[in-house]
Amino acid sequence: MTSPIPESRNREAVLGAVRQALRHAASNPAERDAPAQASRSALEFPARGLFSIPAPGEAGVQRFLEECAANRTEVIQIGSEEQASAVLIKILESVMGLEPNPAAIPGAGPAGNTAVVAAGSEGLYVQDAPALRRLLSPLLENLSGRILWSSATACEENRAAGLTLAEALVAQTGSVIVGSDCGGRAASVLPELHIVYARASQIAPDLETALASLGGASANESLFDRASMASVVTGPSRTADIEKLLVLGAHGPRRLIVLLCMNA
Amino acid sequence: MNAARQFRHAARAAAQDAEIAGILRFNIATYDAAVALGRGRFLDWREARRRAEAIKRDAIAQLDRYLEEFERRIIARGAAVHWAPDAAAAREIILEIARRHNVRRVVKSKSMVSEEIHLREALEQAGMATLETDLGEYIVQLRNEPPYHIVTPAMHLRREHIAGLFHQKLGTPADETSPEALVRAARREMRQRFVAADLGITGANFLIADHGLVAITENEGNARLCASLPPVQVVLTGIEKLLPRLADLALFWPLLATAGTGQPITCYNSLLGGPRRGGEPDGPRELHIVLLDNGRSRVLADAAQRELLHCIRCGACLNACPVFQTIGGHAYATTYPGPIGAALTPLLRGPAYDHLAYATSLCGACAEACPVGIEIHHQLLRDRAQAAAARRRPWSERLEIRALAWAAAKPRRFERAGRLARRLLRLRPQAIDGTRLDPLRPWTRYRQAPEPPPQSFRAWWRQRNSPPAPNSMAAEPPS
Amino acid sequence: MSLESSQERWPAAAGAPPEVALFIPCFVDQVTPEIGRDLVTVLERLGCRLRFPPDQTCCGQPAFNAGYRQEARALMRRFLDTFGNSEAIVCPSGSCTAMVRGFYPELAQSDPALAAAARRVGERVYEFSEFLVRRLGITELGAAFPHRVAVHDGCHMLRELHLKDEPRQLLRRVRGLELVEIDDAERCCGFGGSFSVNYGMISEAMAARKADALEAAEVDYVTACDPSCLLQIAGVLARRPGRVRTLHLASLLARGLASA
Ligand code: SF4
Repeated sequence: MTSPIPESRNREAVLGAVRQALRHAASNPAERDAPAQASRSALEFPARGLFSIPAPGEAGVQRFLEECAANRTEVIQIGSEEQASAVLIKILESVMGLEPNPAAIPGAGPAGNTAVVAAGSEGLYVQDAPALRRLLSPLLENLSGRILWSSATACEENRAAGLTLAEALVAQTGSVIVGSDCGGRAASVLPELHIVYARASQIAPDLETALASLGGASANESLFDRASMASVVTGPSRTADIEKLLVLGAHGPRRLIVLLCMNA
Repeated sequence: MNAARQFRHAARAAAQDAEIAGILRFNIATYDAAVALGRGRFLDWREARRRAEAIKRDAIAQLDRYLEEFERRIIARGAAVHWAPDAAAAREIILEIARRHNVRRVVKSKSMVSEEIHLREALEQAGMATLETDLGEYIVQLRNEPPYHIVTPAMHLRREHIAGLFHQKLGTPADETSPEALVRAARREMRQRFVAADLGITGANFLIADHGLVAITENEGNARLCASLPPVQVVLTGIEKLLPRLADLALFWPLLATAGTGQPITCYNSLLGGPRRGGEPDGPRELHIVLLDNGRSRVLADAAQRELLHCIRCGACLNACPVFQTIGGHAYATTYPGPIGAALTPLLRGPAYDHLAYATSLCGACAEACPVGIEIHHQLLRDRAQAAAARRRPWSERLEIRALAWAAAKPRRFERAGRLARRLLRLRPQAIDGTRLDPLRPWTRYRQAPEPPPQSFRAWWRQRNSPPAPNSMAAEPPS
Repeated sequence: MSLESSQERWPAAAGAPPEVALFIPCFVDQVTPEIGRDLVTVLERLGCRLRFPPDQTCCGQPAFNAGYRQEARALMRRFLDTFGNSEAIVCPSGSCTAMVRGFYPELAQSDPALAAAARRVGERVYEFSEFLVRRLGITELGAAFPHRVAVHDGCHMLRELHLKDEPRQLLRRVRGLELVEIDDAERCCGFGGSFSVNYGMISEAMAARKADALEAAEVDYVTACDPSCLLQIAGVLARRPGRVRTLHLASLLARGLASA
């Protein structure tokens, strides 16, 4: 700031007003304290017992799949890494059919082109992580020059898809949690398609557990010591601002695909 | 025209508008059905509300501590925290940040606090093109209107209205009314502006003290884009948005989504810990958080009314309110319409908005809908008590109440006054019923008045229970 | 302060019906005394010994609702003096019952003795249907009323006193009566005290929606436990072509007893 003094005065003005308000009000008998006493344990575990939560393991996977179906996340269960690569290439082929938008994508070829990612300015934006390098290694030839690694560049407009890992998955809500260490902030929101490569063992039964793992066991194990932002993503981007009708792909991805590796 | 009269005119016009009534009815019926399903996902909705209330009560009771904890932790990750005592200070802080970075183009996500301080107008006046990117907000910005509803800004519009607007402003085909196509067109238009923006502004739904995080809830992804693409980001929010712990979101995210739209959880719930870290490919180089007071600490100072600060701006009370359903959002002419706006605005913005606390039947549907258990209708009564105690009410009302209290102070007096009033009313000729000559016009203009009965209950009771005695006071002669 | 339903506090007491002090709201006394008379009919039929403390006037709700707490407090003191010794106080208005039970404690909070008196009286005041069903444990009165009847849930009944089923329990036992649940039974009729005259245009639109629902359900009568709601609904119905009539629950039962 050009003038630091008013800023600190502002701070004192606001905090001082808050402190004084609290002191002033504390003596007022009108304050109802019953509800606050009522739920001491609720303050400890705010969501506990309020939702039906699957048991860990098989039930968690099942619930995750159900919730994803409801929120329009497409989940593809994968047995092995080779299989994952094969599925991925199929998806990338079909990406060509994902609204080729000639106005926005100069040089977009007609659908049915045999090249995997043909559109000139497009490309696959990928979080630079060993698991994803392995996943893509069989495809490098088809994709040559069309992969943009997060270690080299930021995700920009007109990428065909973003491919990332996840911090965790949530069975309760069918959510995928992506941090900014998953290829940055834009990789999972800017492209029309977001593909997540995740393991079934990453599924947390509920939000409570997932949030606890983000926060870390102690203050310096927090996700936020290595990532500046995280998003709990529950299905593809959507809006119902027009006559309450659901439309996918409002600002973010129109499709969200999870490649879910079933073996640990 | 003062705010009270303006309100009366706007309310009358809206109450007579059959088209808007139909639109609101349809929207709210759809919402109600979704919320009923959504609440069903909670094993115990009432317990969820009780806990949310307890958590907010704790957050507000120790607000100073939690604010400082939040500040300390997020500053440690490189964010800057600014404190704004009022709207002018908040605008100045943000303009100063923008000027320092030579900002020309601003993208904004939805933030009722930014409406509260009229931020967009200030930025535009300073020559910065400012785009609302939430679809509903974008629509009302194109129409040059304030949002109609705090969660559903374009609730008052049919798709034909939006199609016409987009045809005119974006050049979509005149007959293109499919929501998909309209959303596509808006997305395309806004993408260009996102990519070119120098500053992103978002609100916050919650501030998390124990980890120093800003939590933003949305469905579209525009807030995430505002936090990803521009080189500088500002988060503008009120000081009351604190939650003590990250764990609280396991309750508050589903609660807000359920009450707001009926969703189990909204599509994107983001947590901001700071500006871009070293090694990250994108994200703003600077993150500024502006904490706004603007009257909130005044509300905090009143222990009986401070629960109004528990509000998480879910919009449920608006949808539940029969007055909102009748007059809509614009008639209020406030940032926050509906029950919560009616209760809060007189406290935040002063006596000019006293009338809002009186423009309600106090039915309590709002409190029943509120996911954090704010007894909004009782707060409206407390607003009224403040207005009356400060002698801000019309003299005529004061006189009426005084007269009633005077008459009711003595049973004899009460009975005589009642008898006299009934006699006089029985003289009221039917011909003037509902006309300007009718002393009962405020009532009879809209509905029929009952016939004044010849005998009060107490007179009847006396007559019935004591044998008639001549010259006794017992029997009230039928008049 | 949400009020507990009386269900837990007052288990249905067997034995002789208690002496009852009638709390006749000012509005019933002066504008709709027939509701008071019908209340008397029903309670006497059940064997209650009735008393009408003649010093009662107005509980103070109009002043309280308009924000004039000082004026309301004076009327509260009168009320507490008048009814302080009563064991059971019965009122044919959910709204006025809620004033005494729910709002008096807040109104009295600056004076601990007064607040204690308010709570004591608040525990002894009953809304009419609540008194019958919860305190006396009676739902069967032997009444007959062969009509289609809808219930309007008054806001104070529903959201302050949490009484929804009590009037329905009584109606279900009335011979020949067809109880019809309407859309929006819980929706406010738009009365709201001074609101109805200060903002008549909003109030009327709210009442119109209630009238629409009643007419759509083709009921003969709408009943409620609040005279003021009924006045509002009747006033709007009277200016429409439909044929729905209003009747307080006590009046409905009194008529049903007469014709049984
Ligand atoms: S007052 Fe309650 S219902 Fe209304 S917006 Fe706030 S949180 Fe939602």
